[in-house]
Amino acid sequence: MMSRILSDSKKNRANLGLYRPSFALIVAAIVFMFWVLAAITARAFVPHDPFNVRLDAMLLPPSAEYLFGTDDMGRDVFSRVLVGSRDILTVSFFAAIIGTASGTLLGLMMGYLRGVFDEVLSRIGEAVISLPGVIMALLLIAALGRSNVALIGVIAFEFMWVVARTIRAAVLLQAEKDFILAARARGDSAAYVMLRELLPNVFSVVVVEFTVRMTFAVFSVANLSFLGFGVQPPSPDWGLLVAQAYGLLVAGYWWVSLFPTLAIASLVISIYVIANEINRWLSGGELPA
Amino acid sequence: MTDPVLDIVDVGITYRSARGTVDAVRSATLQIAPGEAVGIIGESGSGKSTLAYSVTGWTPQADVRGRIRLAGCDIVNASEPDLRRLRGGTVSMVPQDPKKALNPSMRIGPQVVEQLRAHDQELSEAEARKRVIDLFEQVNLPRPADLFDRYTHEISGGQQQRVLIAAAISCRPKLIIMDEPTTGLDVTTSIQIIKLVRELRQSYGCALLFISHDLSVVARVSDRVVVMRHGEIVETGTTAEVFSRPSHAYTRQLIASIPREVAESGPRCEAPVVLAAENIVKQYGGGILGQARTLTAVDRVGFRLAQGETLSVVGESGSGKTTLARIVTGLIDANEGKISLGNLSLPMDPRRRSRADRQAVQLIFQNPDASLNPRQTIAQILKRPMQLYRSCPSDGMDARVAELLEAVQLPADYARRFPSQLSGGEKQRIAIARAFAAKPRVIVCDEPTSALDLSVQTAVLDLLLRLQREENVSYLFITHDLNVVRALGGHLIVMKNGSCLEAGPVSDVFRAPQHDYTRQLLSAAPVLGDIIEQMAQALQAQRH
Repeated sequence: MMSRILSDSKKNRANLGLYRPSFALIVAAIVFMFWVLAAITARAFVPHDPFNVRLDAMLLPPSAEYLFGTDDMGRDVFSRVLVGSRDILTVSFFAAIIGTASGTLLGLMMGYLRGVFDEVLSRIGEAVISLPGVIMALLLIAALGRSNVALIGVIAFEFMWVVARTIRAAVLLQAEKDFILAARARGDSAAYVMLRELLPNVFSVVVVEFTVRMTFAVFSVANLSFLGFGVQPPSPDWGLLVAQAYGLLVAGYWWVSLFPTLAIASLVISIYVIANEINRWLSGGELPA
Repeated sequence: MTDPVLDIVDVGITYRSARGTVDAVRSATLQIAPGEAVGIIGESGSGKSTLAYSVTGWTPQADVRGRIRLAGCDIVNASEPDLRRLRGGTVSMVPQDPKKALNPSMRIGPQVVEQLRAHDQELSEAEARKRVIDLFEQVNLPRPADLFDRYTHEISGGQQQRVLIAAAISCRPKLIIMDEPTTGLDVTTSIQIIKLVRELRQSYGCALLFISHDLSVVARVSDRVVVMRHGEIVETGTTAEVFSRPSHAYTRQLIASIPREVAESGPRCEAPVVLAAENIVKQYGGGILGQARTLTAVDRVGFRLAQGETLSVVGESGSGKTTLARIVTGLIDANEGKISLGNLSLPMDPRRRSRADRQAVQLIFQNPDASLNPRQTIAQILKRPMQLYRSCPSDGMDARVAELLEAVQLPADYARRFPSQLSGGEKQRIAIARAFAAKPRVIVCDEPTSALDLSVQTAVLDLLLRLQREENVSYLFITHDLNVVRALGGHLIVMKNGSCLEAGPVSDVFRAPQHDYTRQLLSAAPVLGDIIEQMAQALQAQRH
């Protein structure tokens, strides 16, 4: 699918032959792949057990033994950061993919069916988008209970409306074209027109939306975990690590919160750079920073 | 002989791009004497516009070789400031699409003032305004003082084109280049523009370089004609010579592709009526409270279409012909009226049409670039009607696709291609094949040739006529081009402002039009044969 999208657009056909990935993209891809590998394999390879409490090794600064130092319970920060990548990546990925898929379906229906359906759902979407995301997520999680599944559902729900708006706009551009009229005139069903005629023509927008949502998902998960509404202990989730350790900053134990913070930043930035590059391939535009 | 205004000697123009170079123009030589009108004829991609633009020195991303002298100035090696002085002052340009050339956020008058000011900075505000209003008067714009303060979207396309002509003559240039100035306009509007161009040439005495793919327009404005093909000038000569005794095979083909005789529309009264419409009314607007103005797009129009017959619906844009086509195909509903297919009347609500009703009436669109889904292969596109109407067993579909491709004279391996890999004419053949794939009884053709080049148009029309004979389908043919109607034969209805003004067999209507508007349309699109005949006579008179 991907290769077809790339090869179909004339703009890109010329580019691909000469395509040289930028330095930033190479670095971003390496960082991202590092975290994906860490999420899959880190538990087997980390130098120390991330859950092992050692009261004799509390708050040790970074050293050869403890690369990132230890926390206030003597646990190895390096191991905890590596292992902590698993939850944030899994939750973000599922939140982004469910949010993009449901938003795409909703956007297709709103853009093609129009009418009252579109009016009502557009207003609901605007209401959802206009609320601060964190507040709504906190309320919903408070109602649903704290779990990774609830976290995925809540973030996906918020994303769905944003994605639906973008896809609806892309569908509106296509829906008046003659090949859609031709399908309607020959009596094709709405579902056929949406999924077989329209969806392939807006698929590049869907891909870009997904990568952008991935960036925001990582951010949202880290945020909610920091606030205590996201991934729950004992998982060494990055947001949780920062939340547990930022009080120690005042006392000078900077390494306990610095490394998980850097991990969040590196993941968000690497996904953003990749998303931006994919968007440039597919639509020739930069993402808003 | 006086020095020519424009002297082009052995000019070659090459476009450079990432994917290589394209020779747009190859060793072109052309002179235009002061006050002379030269027409360039050619299809899209023939290099006619590139050559014309090079006269103004506007050839970005291209290498220009050879010599171009405009009023004694060397254009090829001229500096940008020199070129700026020449543009507007010595040579001016009227582009094809006036809507794109005018700034939508600026009033019309000031846009022409800009041009005057660019060449005369001393000009006072009041003086400039007066000059522009004078110019508007000369191009026959109604209420020029009023128009000065209007915006582009508030005036018609013909008026927009007049504004651009006013701007082009504003600095009394020695040469005006017109790039398809009538292509986007209705026939009756374009005939007025042509008249205006001829008048202005007489009063201003400027030379004219007129680009068009429309032979009858070129024949009427120019003294000499240049025929271009694949970047080369294949023929030049006086208009009369070229049209009456074309020497190059391509020119002969171009001239032959314009039908001169009304196609024979044999009396087919014995054929049963397949599609009939009565008193179709379609109104837009109105609102629930009836406060908004209603627009009647189609006003009590009816027709009868016999099996294997063609009914052409002729009208200008806004006449309601496309709305009528969409009602017939069931894309929109009519407010009143009755449509019957064979003996059965179709439900008023188009959503309640059965699949068989829809199968019987197929549609071909104007623009093949938009009517084929760019993400589907030709095979997928052609198979869809077969799947939907179950008109073909699933194991026979590939064979049927090959058969359809053969019927529209395309190679069988096109089935695997995407629409973007086909030319405009080939895409339209696919659209035709898709319509026939459903095995319909009626095909509604909505201007299927107007987006195509002239020689491609003829081939597509021939194809449609051949398939009609073979499959015995009926065409409801929407068009504004009377030459196409002439080639199709059959019956004709003339629409204006939503109502039907005249109906009858094509040959009768062409011979003796009943309505003033029909006469106007017919005189606006003269038979090229008549023009050629007149010219040949004039040529003989000169000789004697």
